[in-house]
Amino acid sequence: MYLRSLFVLTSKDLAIEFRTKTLFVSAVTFAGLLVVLFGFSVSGWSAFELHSLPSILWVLIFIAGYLGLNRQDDKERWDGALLGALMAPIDRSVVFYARVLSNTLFMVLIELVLVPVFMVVLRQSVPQVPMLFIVAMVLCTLGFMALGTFLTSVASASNLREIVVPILLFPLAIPLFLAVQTITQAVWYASGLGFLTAWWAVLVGYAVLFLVMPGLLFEILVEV
Amino acid sequence: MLLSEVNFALEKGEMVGLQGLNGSGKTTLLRVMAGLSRPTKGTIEVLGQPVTASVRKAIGVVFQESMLYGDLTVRENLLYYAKLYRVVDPKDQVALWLEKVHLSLDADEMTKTLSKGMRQRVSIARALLPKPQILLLDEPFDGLDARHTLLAESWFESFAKEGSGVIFVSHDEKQVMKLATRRVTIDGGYLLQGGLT
Repeated sequence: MYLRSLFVLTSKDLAIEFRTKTLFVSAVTFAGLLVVLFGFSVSGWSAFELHSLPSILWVLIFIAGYLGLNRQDDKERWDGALLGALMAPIDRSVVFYARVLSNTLFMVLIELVLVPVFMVVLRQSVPQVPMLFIVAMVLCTLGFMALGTFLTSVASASNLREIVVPILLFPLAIPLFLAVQTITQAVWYASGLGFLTAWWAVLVGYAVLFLVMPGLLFEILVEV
Repeated sequence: MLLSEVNFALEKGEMVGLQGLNGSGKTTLLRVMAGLSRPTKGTIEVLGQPVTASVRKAIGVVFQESMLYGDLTVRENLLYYAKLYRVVDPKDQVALWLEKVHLSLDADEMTKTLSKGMRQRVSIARALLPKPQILLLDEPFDGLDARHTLLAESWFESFAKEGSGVIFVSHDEKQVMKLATRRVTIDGGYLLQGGLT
């Protein structure tokens, strides 16, 4: 029953996004333009300096992700749509997990477009350990989206949500950012791969923490 | 504190008209009963138990928000709710309710393109589709034309006659006198029990 409700809620999000494409188009356009701007600013950089660029990728992904979270939240708040899901005879944590799942799927799709654009515009090679890069990308996206979905859901009723969410989201995401940018740097150039255990633990720990904790608290926090 | 010392029981087949001035706490009371807000003190029991997922299946709400998705069609919205409430034969039931609320021809329109009154009809269909035992209605006739107001009144009355309990908020005194089997007034955060109408 839990999985069935999860499927119904996620399919609804996917149906809306595939129809309107607002999240995808706005996030890809915004992040793509940022990549182009970075392209201008790094035109005189040396090859050594360009080596630090893969970590910049995550700044773009976090900003695009935040934009996507806002778009999703707007759809859920339109004429009280989220209240309908909260009133349904389902475990309310399903509402949270469905939002995380659909937000993560959208974000991975955006990354699939953004990463090649990033490589072409900023003259970056293909990651030398692509599988590990993909694993890090998915884990980081899951952790960021779980954290972001939790914060947007909790702040949904607040008039100051557009200020409150980024003020909480970006500082809370710093450990996640440090972990993913260190791992990205290492797997992109296949250097220092043996010293990543702690960073992988942060990445996995973040995803687990912000998937489990909000799931337990969601019921209480959405009742105001 | 918006509401205090609220003791209130809704019997089967009752149609309670909830009245009070703007900001008196009518909407808050309905939201607490629906399990959307948590009381700071005391308990809310619906069908003899706290408002949990299984109890929410028995509650239908029409609030000031339509609770619909603007980027889904009318039919998709109703099907989405029918699936969430595990309605048997969801497609048939949705088609039936589209017919009842006179929206069959607009079933494939995006909900965000509908007028306020049309959206309110979809919202009523959404609430009644799972055949709830308790209906919580916050100004359910808002935006409806005279014809559909009469129609909605008849649905709510027939739900009460079939054994559901109905609480509705309306600022129209005549409508409350016409529909309610009991009137309850909230004044200054306190619930004043009314008599039979």
